[in-house]
Amino acid sequence: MNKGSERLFEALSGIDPQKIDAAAPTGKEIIHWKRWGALAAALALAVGVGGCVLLRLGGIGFGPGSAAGGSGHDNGGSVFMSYAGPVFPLTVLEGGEGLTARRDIVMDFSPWMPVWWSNEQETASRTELTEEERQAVLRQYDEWYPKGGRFLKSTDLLVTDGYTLTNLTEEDKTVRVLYPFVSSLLDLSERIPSLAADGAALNTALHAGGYSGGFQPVAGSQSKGLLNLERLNSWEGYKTLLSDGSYLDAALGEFPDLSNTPVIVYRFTGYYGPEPDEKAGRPNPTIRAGFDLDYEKTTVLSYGFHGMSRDTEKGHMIQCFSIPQPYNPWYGEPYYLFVIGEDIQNLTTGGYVTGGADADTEKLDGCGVDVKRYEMDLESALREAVELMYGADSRFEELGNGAGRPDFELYFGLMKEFLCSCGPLSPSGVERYDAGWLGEMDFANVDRVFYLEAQVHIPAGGSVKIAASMTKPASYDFHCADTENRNIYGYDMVTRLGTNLDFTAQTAAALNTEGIEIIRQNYGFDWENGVDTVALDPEQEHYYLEVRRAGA
Amino acid sequence: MEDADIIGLYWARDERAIPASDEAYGGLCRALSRNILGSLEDAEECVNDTWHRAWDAIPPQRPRFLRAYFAALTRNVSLDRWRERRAEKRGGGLDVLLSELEDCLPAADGVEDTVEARELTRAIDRWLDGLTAADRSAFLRRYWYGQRVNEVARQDGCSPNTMTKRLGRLRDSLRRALEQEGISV
Repeated sequence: MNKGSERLFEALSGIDPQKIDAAAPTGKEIIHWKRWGALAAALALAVGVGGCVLLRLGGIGFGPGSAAGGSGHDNGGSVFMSYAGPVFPLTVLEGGEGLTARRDIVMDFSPWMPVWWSNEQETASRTELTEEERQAVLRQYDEWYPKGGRFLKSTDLLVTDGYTLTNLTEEDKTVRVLYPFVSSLLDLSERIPSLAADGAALNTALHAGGYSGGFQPVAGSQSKGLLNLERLNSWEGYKTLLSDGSYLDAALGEFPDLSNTPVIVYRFTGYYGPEPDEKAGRPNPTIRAGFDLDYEKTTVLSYGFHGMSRDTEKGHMIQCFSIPQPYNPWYGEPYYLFVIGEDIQNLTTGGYVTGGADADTEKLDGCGVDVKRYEMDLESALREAVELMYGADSRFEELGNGAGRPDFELYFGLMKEFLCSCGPLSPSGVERYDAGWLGEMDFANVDRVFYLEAQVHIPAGGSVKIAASMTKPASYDFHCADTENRNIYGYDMVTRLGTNLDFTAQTAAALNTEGIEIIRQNYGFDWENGVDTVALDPEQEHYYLEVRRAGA
Repeated sequence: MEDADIIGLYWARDERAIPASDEAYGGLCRALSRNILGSLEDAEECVNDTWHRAWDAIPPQRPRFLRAYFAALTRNVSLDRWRERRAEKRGGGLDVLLSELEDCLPAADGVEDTVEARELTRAIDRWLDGLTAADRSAFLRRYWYGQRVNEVARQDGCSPNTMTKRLGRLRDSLRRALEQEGISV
């Protein structure tokens, strides 16, 4: 156990009492949770969605794979526990004949440099506040930082990946360029590069590939069920993913269309029940929906439900949700069961004192819910629920008042793709998503390769300079793991993977490296002796740079 | 009984202050202590210590947020008890929380000295300020009050799996925030 985490826990004791008070558990909300008792067999069902699966798959591998990070740097640098993915080269979709390219990548370490951030700057950045509130913040910061500010720094890298495309033909060319980068949907606003041609910003379209990783059993478990994510942790993983071009083809393809898949919808609205009161024996008033089904012929997805039990032998399922009260932000929102395949039978609903789905959970009077059954297509049904999810997804708020929210159609499309590729709508769906809860799908938080597409005009015999500028996070080992890579941060790039450009030269440069020590690399930098720009060997597929602060 | 009335009893040196405190906040404090120590018996003793410390401190103190005040006292008493138990190799529920919090530790670069506890607290406070109310509440319920993930999840209306992922993101966010401020722990 690390002493630092103990200090952190203790330091939490002193935070603003108002926050502690606001977060205090009320006790009456405490529940006794039970997930389903037994994991079901794979839901390899003939539910009429097979056709949708084929369009955009290619990234996901299932089953045990390579070990998670830690060290290992015989070839191509370390295998880090948290891998940010390499910087990829630009490629051309069409019109690339007769073009040559030169690449000059610049890695700027300025985010590593401590920057003085005055209390006035902090105050001015809080644009959401009134002037009076800003003055209060300033007084607070002046108290916290009597020197008038503090130093900020990070381990991100500012990358400018520059290309000079030269048109050797005698005709003007308009080419569609693609710039790949690694991100999750949630991190998109922080990771998305800006593209410019000859200094002018380019209009871009965004394409998203599938989840780049796979799934694995729980470490040390006897069960072979694929319950954990297995993210890519080396550039070779991306090489496997991108080499044959199918991942890109899929990324440029259409999302699954579920409009030909019929679904029976059970919409739960108008729920009511008493407030939680532990002393009164109802710590978590819950609506339970129980029904019979043939697990071989029926798949159930749900939105809003968050407790369940399943009995595959008896062909019974229970789904339940805590009864929202008027003070809950989601009060009034509908909850859904989506039944695909054969309809469920003998649906009953009722109130219970807790969310437990045990047979002996006590019933609760004074609860109720309206259930409406109707039939429609799965595309429209899911759209309705995912719109609610999209609006309520508070994770985007972390990125700045929702400014980082991706386009809804992208969000919806990636959700459908996830359901069809590894979720309950896939014949090879993994156990991780057996519950069928839409809110459990990891489509927004897993890494994938995105592509920015832009059109560029290159005159006959002329050149255009394209620059992709981005903030690139570091790869690292978790501090607590205490590996030999502690305090070491890695950045890497690939020279040829996924590109069809004919490169005449590639160079790499590093800026603002003062106080940063190279631990491992294959670039050939020698900062101490002034070698901060190097020519890259086009035959070398992968370059890596691992650094730490001097003295760390 | 209202908080002001309970504080009034303490100021009047009226011993009914203690049962009144226990009536209002005993459950919360016992749950908090149990989360840290993993033992009902120890939690009971810690909560009794809490009331005695409050008796010694009020007056002159007049807590503005009485619930948070009692909870903070209980947390500190329980942490002290956990350290005693650790010395006796008996550990407790806090081990799991500390193990999770290790994700939040910024990389120590050896340049700065470890910051003072007060500075660390301020940095965490600032980071908490930047969170949504829901995320702040989830983080504090887990790492301040020591609630189990499934309890935090249910109070937030989401599944334990979703909450686990969300807490992971929050820990990562705190680590980055501390790193950005150049704070070593």
